[in-house]
Amino acid sequence: MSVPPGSNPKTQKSIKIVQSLKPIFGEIWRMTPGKVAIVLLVFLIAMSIVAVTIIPADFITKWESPTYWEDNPVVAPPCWVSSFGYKVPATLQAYTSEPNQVLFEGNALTAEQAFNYNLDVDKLPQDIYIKVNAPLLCYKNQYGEEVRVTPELRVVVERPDGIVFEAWHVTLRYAENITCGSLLTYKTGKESFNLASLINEMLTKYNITVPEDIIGYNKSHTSTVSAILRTTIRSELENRYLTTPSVFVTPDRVSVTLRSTEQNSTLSSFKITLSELLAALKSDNVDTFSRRVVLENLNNAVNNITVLLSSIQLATYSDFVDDLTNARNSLDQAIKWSMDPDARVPGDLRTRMQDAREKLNKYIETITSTTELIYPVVTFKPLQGDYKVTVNLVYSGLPTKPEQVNMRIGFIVKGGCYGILGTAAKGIDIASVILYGTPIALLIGLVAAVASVMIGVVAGIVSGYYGGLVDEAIQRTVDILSNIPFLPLMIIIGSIAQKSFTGEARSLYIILLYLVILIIFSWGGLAITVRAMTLSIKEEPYVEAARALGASNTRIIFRHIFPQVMMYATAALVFRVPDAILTEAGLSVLGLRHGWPTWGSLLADARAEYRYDIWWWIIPPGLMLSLTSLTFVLLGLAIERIVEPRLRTL
Amino acid sequence: MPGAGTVIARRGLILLFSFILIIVIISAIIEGSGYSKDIYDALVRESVNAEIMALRRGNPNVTDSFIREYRENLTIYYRKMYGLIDEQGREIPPYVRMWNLVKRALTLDLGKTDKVEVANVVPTIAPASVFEIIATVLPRTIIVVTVGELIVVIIALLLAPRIAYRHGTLVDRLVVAYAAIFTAIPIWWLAMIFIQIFGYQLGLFPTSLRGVATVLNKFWDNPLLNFIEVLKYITLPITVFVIWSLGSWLYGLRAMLLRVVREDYVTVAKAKGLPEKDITRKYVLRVSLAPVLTNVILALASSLGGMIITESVFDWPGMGTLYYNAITAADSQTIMGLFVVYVGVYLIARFILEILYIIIDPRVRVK
Repeated sequence: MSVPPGSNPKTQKSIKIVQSLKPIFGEIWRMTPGKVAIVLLVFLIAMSIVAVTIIPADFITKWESPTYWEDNPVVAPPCWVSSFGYKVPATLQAYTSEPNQVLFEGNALTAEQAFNYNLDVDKLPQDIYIKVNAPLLCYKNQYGEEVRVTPELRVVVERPDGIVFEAWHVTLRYAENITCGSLLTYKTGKESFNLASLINEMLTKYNITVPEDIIGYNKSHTSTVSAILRTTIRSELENRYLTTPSVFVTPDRVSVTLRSTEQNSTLSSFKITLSELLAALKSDNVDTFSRRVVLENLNNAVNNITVLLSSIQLATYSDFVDDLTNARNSLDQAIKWSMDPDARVPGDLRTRMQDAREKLNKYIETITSTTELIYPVVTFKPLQGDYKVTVNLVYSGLPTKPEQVNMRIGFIVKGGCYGILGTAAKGIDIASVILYGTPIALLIGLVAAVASVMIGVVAGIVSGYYGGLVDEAIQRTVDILSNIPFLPLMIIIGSIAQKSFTGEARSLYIILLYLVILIIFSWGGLAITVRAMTLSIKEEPYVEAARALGASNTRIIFRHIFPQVMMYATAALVFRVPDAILTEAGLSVLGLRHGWPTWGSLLADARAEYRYDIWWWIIPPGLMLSLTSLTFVLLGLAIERIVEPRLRTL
Repeated sequence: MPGAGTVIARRGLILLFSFILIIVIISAIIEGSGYSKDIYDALVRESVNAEIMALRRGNPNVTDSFIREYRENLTIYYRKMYGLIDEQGREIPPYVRMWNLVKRALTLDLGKTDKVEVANVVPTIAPASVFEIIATVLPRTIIVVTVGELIVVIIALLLAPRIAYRHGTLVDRLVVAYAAIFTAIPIWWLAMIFIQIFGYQLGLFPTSLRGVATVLNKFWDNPLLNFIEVLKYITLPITVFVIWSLGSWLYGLRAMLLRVVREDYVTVAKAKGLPEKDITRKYVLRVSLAPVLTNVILALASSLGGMIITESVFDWPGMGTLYYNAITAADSQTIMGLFVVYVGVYLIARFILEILYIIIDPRVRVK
């Protein structure tokens, strides 16, 4: 081997190592498993490099916080599913720092930005909102005082069906201690959403009213009835459609019915109560003027209800409300006159009359304010087409135009899909975690494998070469370690760590602890094999020759034993890499979380929420775990065949 | 040369020593890290509450102030009893308390748990004895592991000889690839995929196996019907277990048989023209019986621990789910109890297996 002049001995050495690795590499490449392993390994390393270069540094601590993923839809499939026929509404996250239009007119600064969204499927997005970062502007008035000007946010939505409504209109509130010029982030929510205005627009546009034949002759009831209709629509939109996605709905079927026959039993019970009262009052034969008035009024009330009952099939809303109101008024008169001592109405009857009156009144209230009698059913469907959303940020009362206003306006529609691998709970982007999990997995796998193999090789050589007490001690330690089931021990120490470790570096300590235990438990098998190898090498004639020539123990170990053990140890090392990765993932799934964005953590989330039905959540992390594991299993198989040529025929 | 008895006795001693040693180490860690606080707090609270309940039931008109005083005294009493404070009320240092913990663990005095999630695995009402919970739940794990292991071994024994004869063919390579792939795939992830496909997509099996607990608890009311019901639940975990562990079994068995197949006496038998079936049965399988049995036995012991995560994924109400619920509810008492029982069962299993091993394989005795 010719070494170029001038290169230092260190590079010479590294060149030597690289050159000696070359044939080994070639041999691995010649075998099918080796080829597959090397391709996979290159892929994993490439992913790690990409991950380390592009992902923000705070990802590792913030990836589990819901605010980090605020703009993402929750548990949404990847967007490419739509090309397989599974149609989902698109997700839009549009941010701009330069609004379309910034105008200064009549002491008001107006920034305007328009956004467009196209809903082309028959499904609703999860949410829609506007997020602004707006500064607090200030100016000095003529007295030299600082005046704070807060912006007003107005969001107008133009729908494909022609409805234009103001979805939000809010004044941003800045805390007292916020200094002039600093930004406030504001996100529109369902609390400030102007649902009433949307409902009004829809009612007018689609001409949704309660039919006149249901209301009946008394047109003054129209407003009460339409209030019931509005309340029904409102609660439907709030509960089923979660308020803000209502932007995208249009009425599908509207029907209003009068549940008149359902009222039969209630009305009959009123009739019976009042008739009984009437009979009781008639029975004692008192004949004073007041008593006559009481009886007459009570009789009217009974008659009112009887009339209503007799024609209940044909009764309209007006019939119900007016007849019952008349009955109540008559009952009121009866009660009023029964107070007269002259009427000589017994106290208990009076109480019964008052009770009946209360019940009747409550019933009237019920039918005029709830869906007890008027029963509207309104269903909605997604409205497809182009939506235009105009956002206005208005600072009014500014004397002069400010020079520079930094603001950011964002329009977010959480659709039904996200990114290339979709999202998990809290909107976590699965692709990011998969990507960032790669270097972490490789790192913990390699650290654990290298450490355990190093300990195993050293312990094995020492045990085999020196023998005696050291040998005995190492052998017994291995014996005891191999008797202890690994996973239960890992779990108990892991759960102790969950409680004991706190603070910023908690995740790191927990993972390090896992690695330490794994290393302690995994060197034993290798030590026994290395010991056996050392024992046989030690007896070889060339070792004896070396010893006769006066070679030290160190020299014999490093010159003659170690190189022979090394290749075998390399195979063992490669086989061990997946152990730590799979252990970490397994413990996470079992509930022993550490807080790093690993593949195991994603699967642990799926376990915790019991969402095995979400394929894009469980398949990618598990597949990455399996692929990584497979890479090292295949690589190990290939190396093993080089180390032990006997295996090639097997 | 030591006889079988000496070998067994020595192994027994080593296993016993390992058990005590690991309990001592864990107790030391638990005391040293302050993890024991929860365990003791739960114990004292449980005992005090039980006595006060008894007092209230006995005399319904005791005053609140009396109960408060009574509770304080009882707490001190029990803190003394559990070795937390001495007669003068001073804290007893952790390195002394540690031995109490060791003693309680070795006598299987595992205390009670007041966590509802943990009691739900049985299901029973909290507070419940940790030992009783584990005793109810352990057999459910053993059923799955044993049945699964048996099926795997039978399939492997049927298939492996055929593959060993066709060494180097496509079938052989497929088996090696199958083994490599399923060694790489974590079994608990395979479980998730199976629930996704057969539970959610095809709807053939229940997606959560928690329901099997009630069926198992009243199994003997109607054994036939309940057996069918249990089958509905158990099929998925056993299938996953079989598919997953078949790879490594086939691979291992194939390697072992390959060595036997190349022995001279097999070649002679072939040369004599004996049918392949006879060769397999009389010359190959019989010789491999001892190592296969050892493997079965050892695999049983190790899959007892290996199924923890898989069971918890399936929500099969065995040791795995108990573990999961204890961990997520931060129930130190149960976690400690599970550890003691698990290590104990594992070591006893290993001991029995080693005895069997010595009985089956005469070579071990000589070695």
